[in-house]
Amino acid sequence: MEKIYIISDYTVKMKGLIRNLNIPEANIISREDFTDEQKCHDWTTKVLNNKDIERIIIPLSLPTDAPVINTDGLLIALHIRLNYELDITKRLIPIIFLSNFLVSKIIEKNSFDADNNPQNLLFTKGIYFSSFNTDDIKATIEKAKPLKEEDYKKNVLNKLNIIRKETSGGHDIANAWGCFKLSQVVGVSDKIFKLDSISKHLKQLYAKYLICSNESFKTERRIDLIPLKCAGKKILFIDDKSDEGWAELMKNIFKGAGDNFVFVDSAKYKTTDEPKLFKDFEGFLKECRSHIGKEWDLIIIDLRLNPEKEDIDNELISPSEFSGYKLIDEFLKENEGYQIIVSTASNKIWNINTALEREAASYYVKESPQFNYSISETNKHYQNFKTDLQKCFERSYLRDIYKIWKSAAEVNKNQDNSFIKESNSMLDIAWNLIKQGQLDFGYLTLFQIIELFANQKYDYRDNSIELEGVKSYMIEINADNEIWKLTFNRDNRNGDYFSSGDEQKSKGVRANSLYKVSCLLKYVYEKNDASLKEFGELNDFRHKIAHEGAKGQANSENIKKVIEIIKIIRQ
Amino acid sequence: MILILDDTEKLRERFDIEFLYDKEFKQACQLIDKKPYSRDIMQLAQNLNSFKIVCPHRSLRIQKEEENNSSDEDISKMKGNFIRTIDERKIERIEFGRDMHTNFSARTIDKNLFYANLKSFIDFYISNNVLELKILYYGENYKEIEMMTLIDKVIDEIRSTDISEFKNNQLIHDGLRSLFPFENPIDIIENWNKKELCKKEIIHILNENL
Repeated sequence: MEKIYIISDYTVKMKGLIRNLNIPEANIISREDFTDEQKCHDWTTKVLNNKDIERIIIPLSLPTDAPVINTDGLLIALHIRLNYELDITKRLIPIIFLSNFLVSKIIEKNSFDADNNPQNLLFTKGIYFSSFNTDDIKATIEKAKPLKEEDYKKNVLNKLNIIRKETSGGHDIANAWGCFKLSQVVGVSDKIFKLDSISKHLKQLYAKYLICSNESFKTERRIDLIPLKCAGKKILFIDDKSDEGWAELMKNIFKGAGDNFVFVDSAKYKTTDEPKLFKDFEGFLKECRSHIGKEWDLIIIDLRLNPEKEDIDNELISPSEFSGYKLIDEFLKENEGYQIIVSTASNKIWNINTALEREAASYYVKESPQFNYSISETNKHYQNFKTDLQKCFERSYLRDIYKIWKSAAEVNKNQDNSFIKESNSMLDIAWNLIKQGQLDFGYLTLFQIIELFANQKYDYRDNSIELEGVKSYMIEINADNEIWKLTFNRDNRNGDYFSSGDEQKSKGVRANSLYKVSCLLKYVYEKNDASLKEFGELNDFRHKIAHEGAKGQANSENIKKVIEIIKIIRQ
Repeated sequence: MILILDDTEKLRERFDIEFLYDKEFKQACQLIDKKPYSRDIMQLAQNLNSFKIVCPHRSLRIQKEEENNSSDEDISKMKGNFIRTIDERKIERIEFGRDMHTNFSARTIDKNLFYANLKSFIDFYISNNVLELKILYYGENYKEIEMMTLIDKVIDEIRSTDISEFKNNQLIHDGLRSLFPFENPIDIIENWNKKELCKKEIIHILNENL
C-alpha cells in the first residue's frame, strides 16, 4: 500500500475502510469541496504533483455520507485524466472507484452533465470499479495497472464525449485558446497562463479535453529570436478581450514600442461579475472612436467587438454588420492610409474578405481550439503575422500622405471649374496608385496636375499670367533679347531651379514647365526663393521618373510636397 | 416564499425564466433581477422571516444610493452581513453561479442547472408548500436518486452488520420496504437466510432490484 492513495472525507465509513486496507496516514488525500472546475483543476494539479501516486482510490459519491448520492468522484477523475499540467504518467494512473452500486445502475439512475458526460470515463481503460468491501478493493488494486501512453488517445480521450457548454460562449474559449497559443510562440505563455481570465477558460473540462487531444500544452519556454522592430511606432489595439489576456500579449509583441502601444481597456466597460459582459458597449465604442484621426502607424481591430450579439456561432449576421467592421470603416473614412489589421477568432473566409475588401491591410486569425495546430504551425502563423505588421509599418507613411491629400482634395476654391474637376479625378487616380505602392506613377500623376494648371494659367502666346485682373508679362521681349522675370540656376545635384531677379536671355528660348510653375509660385502665390528651389528639386524628380523609368524614386516626402503645391493652386 | 437575487445581465434573454414574472409564480417566488441598492438589502434583511429559502447569485453586488454616505467598503461588507443573517436565522440558502460546482451538501449549484430545474421546484413548492431541494439538484426524477441514497446506506449497513441481526435492523427494514413495497421485510430476510445467501449476493439482489 506504499504508493496507493485514497481520497477520504474522514467519515466513519472511510476511516474504517482505510484502517482495514492498511493505507498509511500520509496516503490519505483530504477531499475538498470545489466551487467550480477551475478549482478542481488546481486541486488535482497540486495533489498529484506533490505525491508519488501509483494508484488512486476515489469514492464515486462524495462526500460518502452525502444526504443525496452523487457522482462527484467522476469529476475529480476526469480532471486528473485531462490535467495537461501533469506529466502524462501522472495523468494515466489507475483510478479505482468505490461504490455500492453496479455500474449499470449508476448509469441508469443518475443524470449526468450533458456537456461533460463524465459517465463515459467509466468505460475507459485504466478505470477500475470496486465495492466498499475490503477484499474486493484489495483484489482490484492488484489488477489495476497503469495505462500505457499509447492508450491515452485511443482508449481514453477518444472514448470521452466532452462538448462546449452552451452558455460558455465559443468566443470566450476561442479567445483564451488563441491568446494562449500565440503566447507560447511569443515566449510569454507562463505570464499569460497565470492570468485568471485565460486560465479560468483553459481549466474547463472542454478546453482541457481539447488541449490533451491536441497535445498542445507545452511547458517548454520559447524565446522569440526575432522580436518585432517597432521602436517609435504608434500602435492602437482594439479588442473586446483586451482585458482577457490579449492586451498583455500584444504589449509583449510590441514591447519595442513602449508607451506608444495603446489599447482600449475593455474592462472599464464590463461588469466585474462573471461572465464579464459589456455593461456599456457604447462607452467602449466611444473610446475606440476617440482614437480616429490620431497618428497611428498600425491599428489592430477585432472583427467582433460585441460577442453577446456577434458570437462566433452566430452566422446570421452579415460580416459588414460586425461592430469591428463598422469601426474599421469609420477609421478608413477618416484616413484611408491607416494600416489596419483585422483580427478575428473566426476562420470564415467571407468575414475576413469583407474587411479586406474594405481595405484593411491584412488579417490575423486567432487560433481556434477546434483545430489541431502544432506549435511549429502556430509559430509559422506568428511569423506571418510579424511580416504583415512590418509591412504595415513600412506603409504607415500613407496615413500622412492621405491626410494632406484629403486636405488638398477638400480645397476647391479655385474658380476654374474645369481645372477643379480634372484635378479631382487626377487626385483620385494618384491616391489609388500611391496606396497600391506605385509611388512613382502616383507622383507623376500629381505633378501633371501642377503642369496642367500652369499651362492653363500661363499664356504661352505672350508669356503672361494674370495678376489681380491685369496681364503681367513673365518674359519681356526686346529688340535684341528677352528679359525673364526669374533667374535660372543650374544645380546638377538637386535639380535646376529659378530664383528672384530678372535674367537677360537671347531670343527664342521657350518657357518650360519649371519656369511657368516657378512664375506662378513667385508672382501669384508669393512664394520665396526657397520654395522655388524646392520646386526645382520636385521637377528634377519628375524628370528622373519620366526619363529613367519608375525605379522607386518618389517617396512620401516629395509626394507630400507636390500635394502641398496642388493644395495651394486649388485655393 | 422563495427569494432569488440575480443581478447578472440579460437574465431573461439567456434563461427560460419568463414564468417567474407570472402572477402565480410571483406569489411564491420573488426574483430581484437588478443590482439591489443597499436600502433594498436592508429591507430584505428585515423581512427575511417571510422567506423559506434565499438563492443569491455568487457574484451579487450591492450598489450605493447617490445620497448614501457609507464607504464602498461598508457596502461590500453588506453582502457578507446579509448572507450571515440568512444563515443565523437558519433560512435555507443556495448559492448559484456560472460553471459553479453542483454540490448538494455544500448548497452550491451550477446556474444552468438551477434555472433548468427551478420551475419544477417552484411548482412542487406551490402544490405542497414544501421546499424539495432535491428537485433543484436532481430534477423531477429526484425520487430515483433518493431511493439510491437510501439503498446506499442500507448496503453500508448490511456490510457492517451480522446477517443474523438484519431482522432487527430498522434501516435495513426501511430500505427493503421501499425497494419491495409489496413484501414484508422480515419475509425477505428469512428468505435470504433460507437460501444461505452471503452479503455479496444480497447486495447484488438489492442492486438488481433498484
